[in-house]
Amino acid sequence: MMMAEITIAASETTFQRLFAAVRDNIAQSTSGSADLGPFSVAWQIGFRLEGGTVDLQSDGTVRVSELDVVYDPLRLTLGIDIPRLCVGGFCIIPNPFGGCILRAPRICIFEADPDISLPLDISGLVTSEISGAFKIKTRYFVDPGRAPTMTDLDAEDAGVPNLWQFLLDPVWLDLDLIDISDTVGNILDQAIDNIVDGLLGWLPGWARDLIKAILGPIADLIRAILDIGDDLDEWLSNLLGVSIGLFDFVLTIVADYFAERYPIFSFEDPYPILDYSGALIPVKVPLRDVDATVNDDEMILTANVGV
Amino acid sequence: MSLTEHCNVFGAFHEDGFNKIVEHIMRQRPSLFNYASLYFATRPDQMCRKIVVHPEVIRRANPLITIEDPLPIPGTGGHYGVDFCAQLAEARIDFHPGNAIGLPPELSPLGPQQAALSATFCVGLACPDAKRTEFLGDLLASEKSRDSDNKDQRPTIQPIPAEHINCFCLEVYATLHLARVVSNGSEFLVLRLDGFEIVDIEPKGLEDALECYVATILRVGILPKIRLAIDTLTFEMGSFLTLNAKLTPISADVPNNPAIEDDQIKVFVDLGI
Repeated sequence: MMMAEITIAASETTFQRLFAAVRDNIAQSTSGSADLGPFSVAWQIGFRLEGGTVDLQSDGTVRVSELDVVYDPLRLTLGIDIPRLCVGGFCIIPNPFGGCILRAPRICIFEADPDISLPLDISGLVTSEISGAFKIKTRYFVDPGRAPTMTDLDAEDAGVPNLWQFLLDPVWLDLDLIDISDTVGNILDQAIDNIVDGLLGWLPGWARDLIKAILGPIADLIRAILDIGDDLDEWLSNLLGVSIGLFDFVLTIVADYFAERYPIFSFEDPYPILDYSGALIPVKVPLRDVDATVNDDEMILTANVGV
Repeated sequence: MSLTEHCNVFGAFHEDGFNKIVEHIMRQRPSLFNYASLYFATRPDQMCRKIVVHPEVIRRANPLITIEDPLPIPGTGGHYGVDFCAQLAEARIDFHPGNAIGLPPELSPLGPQQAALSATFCVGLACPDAKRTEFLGDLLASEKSRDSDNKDQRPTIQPIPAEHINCFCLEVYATLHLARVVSNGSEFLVLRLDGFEIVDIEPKGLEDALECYVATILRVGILPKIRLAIDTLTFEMGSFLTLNAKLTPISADVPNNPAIEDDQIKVFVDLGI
């Protein structure tokens, strides 16, 4: 095998330190809302990365393991539209000739939409885990904005030079929701209690007692409306993953990052080694046979100088 | 053994790649390698060696030649000169072991951790007609105090029209090594000249004197200025990552850094993130 004219190798240790530095500087966030029938949800969601390891493998892949995705911020506002309820209005003294002489006052509640806004701040309490293996792919990119008549120097001047690009090509990629802290359940219960107290606080004592007697524990009612059921983890996971699409959001960002439009590194071809000097053109060197390989110990980039 | 067993980042550059890069520089910046007075600059086809350039040089109307004054003729008060051209026509490098350049016996064999350079320098002189120069000499001798006026001003050198052009090319060879030196508390990578040879100049004393003169110019005036500060090189990676690169210290595992071996120059780097 011919020796490459340019060889650059980075050790696995260097890779791991770069990984840690990049990981600690990646954070994304988004916000939105959705109407889900009896309740609505608005969210402000972001994530950051923690932990995880990166290993260079003898099969030529870079493996990322157990990289935690911590959702922070994760603020949900659940809007609950409780079916309209009216009490009273029944006849106290009926009219023997028809109708009613005296009726009890009629009081209707839950007439707004939503009737209850339930702010829930569970930032940092939900985590996912990413694992995956990637091959390093090399690609020669010709900018679509480059006209066929352009020379390499014209293309550089126009900001559309050809590029050698290095991409992380996912062999497999996995995202799991692994933990919803028990604290989330307590926060949710407390939020519901606060809402109930606030919701009924304006009523006179007798009416509050009456409504409670009629409706039973309102927290149970809210849980029923939200369809929380017995398993809070499952419910929240379903809400975040299916209804809001949080995990799709994270996976999309991760996949986009690694996908073809986001190379981890690129450089111009021909590569400028001397800049413009007055009117003198820059000196540019074509690079050929650019390749990247991975083994247990290091990642190696090789290239030859074109003629 | 892995390439990065004793460092974070390893780089190796083969002599073939270096030589191709030199060719690219010569073709894209020809005016760095070709010097001549106006006569040759306007007639590049009369230079000793044809100047081969990248098409973009012509397209962008870049100069092929750096224009210099004619060579002054002593005794004319700096008013007359001879047109000339000087070219670095070829340059090659050979990293140990020596196999890309046939070194002259005086410099052979190439030692460990050495690099060899070969270059072809061509010089052309536009030689004036003898009768015309005699006439000019007589004319100048009959003029009195030609230089008495405007002594503070450097006269424009008028070239004497040429009758024919004399060209010659010299093959020169040098051997060098890299050294790390500390100056004012900072460490630099410098080139040290080990040997210099001009081939086929007679008499031998002239060759020795020229070699001594050129080697002194290189050691005193040129090579010390070609130095790279290597304390720490800082690279920005994205907007949030700063890499501090430093040559791996010399040790039993890394006895030379940079190392010139296996037809390559190898660099071992430690990285601070």
